[in-house]
Amino acid sequence: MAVIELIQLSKWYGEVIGLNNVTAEIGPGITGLLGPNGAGKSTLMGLATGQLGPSKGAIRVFGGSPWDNPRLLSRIGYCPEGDPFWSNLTGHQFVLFLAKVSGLHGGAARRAATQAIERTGMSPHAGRAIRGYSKGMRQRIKIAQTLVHSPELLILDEPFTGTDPIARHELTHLFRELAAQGTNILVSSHVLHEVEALTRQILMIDHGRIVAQGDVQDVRRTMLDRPHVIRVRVDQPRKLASRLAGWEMVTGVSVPEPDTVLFETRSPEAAYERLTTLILEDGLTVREVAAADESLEAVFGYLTQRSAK
Amino acid sequence: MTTASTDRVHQYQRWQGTLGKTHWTWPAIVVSGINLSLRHSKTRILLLTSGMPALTAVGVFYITSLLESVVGTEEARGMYDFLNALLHIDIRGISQLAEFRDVLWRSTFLMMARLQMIWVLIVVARVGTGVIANDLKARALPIYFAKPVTPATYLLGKWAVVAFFVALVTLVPSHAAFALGIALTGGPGTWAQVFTLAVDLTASGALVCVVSAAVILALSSITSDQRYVTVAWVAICLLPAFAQAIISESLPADSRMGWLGCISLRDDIVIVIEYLLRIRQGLAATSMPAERFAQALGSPVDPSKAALVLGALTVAAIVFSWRRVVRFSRTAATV
Repeated sequence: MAVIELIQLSKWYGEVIGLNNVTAEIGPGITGLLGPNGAGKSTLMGLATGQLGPSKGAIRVFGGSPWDNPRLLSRIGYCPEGDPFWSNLTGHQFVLFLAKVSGLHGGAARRAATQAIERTGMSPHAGRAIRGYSKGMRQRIKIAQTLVHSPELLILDEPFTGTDPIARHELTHLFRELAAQGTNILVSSHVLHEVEALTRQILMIDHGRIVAQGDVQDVRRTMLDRPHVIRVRVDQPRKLASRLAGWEMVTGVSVPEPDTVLFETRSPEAAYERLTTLILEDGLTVREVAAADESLEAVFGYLTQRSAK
Repeated sequence: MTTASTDRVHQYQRWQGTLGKTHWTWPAIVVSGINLSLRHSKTRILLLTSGMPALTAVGVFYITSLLESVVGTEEARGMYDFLNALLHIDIRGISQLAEFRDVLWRSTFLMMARLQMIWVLIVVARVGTGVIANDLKARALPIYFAKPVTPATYLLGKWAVVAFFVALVTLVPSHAAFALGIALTGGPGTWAQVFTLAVDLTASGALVCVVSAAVILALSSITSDQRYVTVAWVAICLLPAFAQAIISESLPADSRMGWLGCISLRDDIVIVIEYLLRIRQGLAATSMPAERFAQALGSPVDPSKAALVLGALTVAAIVFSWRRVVRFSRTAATV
């Protein structure tokens, strides 16, 4: 049975189209929702969490409409994009409050908040005000509030944004664990390798339309001839660049800024995996690792053209 | 279904149980709102000082009870003057002072209500102006409305936060003064005479809570900038009062009794509280001469107009906030 069904679903904001006559089924387990910025990912997630009403068609989650349906929403955990925080709260207060709003009370709410915070690795920082958190910490505390009431479906909008490689690895591990326990996850990203590390099932959308759906390997094949550029902001860029230059999978390395290394690879997933190990071994301080090229957008363009044909 | 498994799966504990009913999420919003506001020392100091009118009232009760025992003597003169200055009720020459106890208490609570309006203005400006505006500023609505929170539970929770603090500066001190007054001035005898006042005080306090919380919710839902909400709230409270004072100076007395006499939110609340406290009926039931009666309370003001203005304002504020919050809930992902 499909967890989320999209039935000729359209959503427009005035003259701007968010989703355009989309019909699809999102099955159990983890599904990656891929698309460039402005593709309609957040619109789809807003519709799935009952925060937006369809302009046309219907969306069903667990067989019911999420619109005006608080009982159904208590089965969903939503991690929105951006920083929706009351920054004067501590991480623990934030998660505890949202546990209570989700329907937990007293000791059960406290226990659930503690477990969710622990699970996202935020226990050491839970007593600090959120305004002092780094971007990665904010992402993790946001994910903790998503998990706190043990929902059956997690809807995660760009959960890896701003996280360092280690946090990304831990979150990936956590989402896999949850999926193994029966939680369904819809995770959006505009970076393909992030989703690939989680699942093979993807749904790609662009300009409000589905351009590909199914196994990620099929999509991946269209990208094989296109090198990926990865940007690393690090304290010792020259040291990192010299190490990267020795890798077979790396086809080019440059240091365009004093704290930035850019490298090209045709095997991004393997490169990310090895990069994490290298950072740990060499004790480098990394501030950011991100895809710097537009290759995914190029694939979306290719897929869009193909589907138009 | 994904069947991946890791070693840590078996170590992962998560909460298991039954979630509460979805329409009972509003108390969580209330408790959180109260706790957040109480974290500010200025708010706590403000709440502590809100007991001052109540202490004054207790002082008046104590003096009237002393006066009953020294009535007609030289010692009583200063007490008469004090009460006359404070309550505008001239009770000199009246030997059966116990007959006036109920009406003196009611007048004292009216005086107290007038003073409490200052605390209501400030406490609402402190804790109420950001009640929705801060959620808008923090862009927290997608998180709220992705939870089992409906516009009704959200609005009820926010309203109750403001109403709680308004009750802390109105209802709570009034009832505390009432209880202390009874304890200090004779116990059961006094209680038997004034017990109906407890109900009237509750109604008066509830009126202030409902009106002020509804108005500030509407204002707070307009913008994400709390400063603008504060300016609007202070303007709504003070400007009509200034305008009314100017109008009162320039118009004949009978013109002031109509709708022009009802443009001040504060005055409207005081007029309705005066009606709820039944002071005029109380004084009419005593042996006070008619001229002193008129001196004490002034010309009668029709409370129905003030009540109508307050009712209309409250309903308009609730409808406005409701429409705003429903809109937020249905566009939360894009707010």
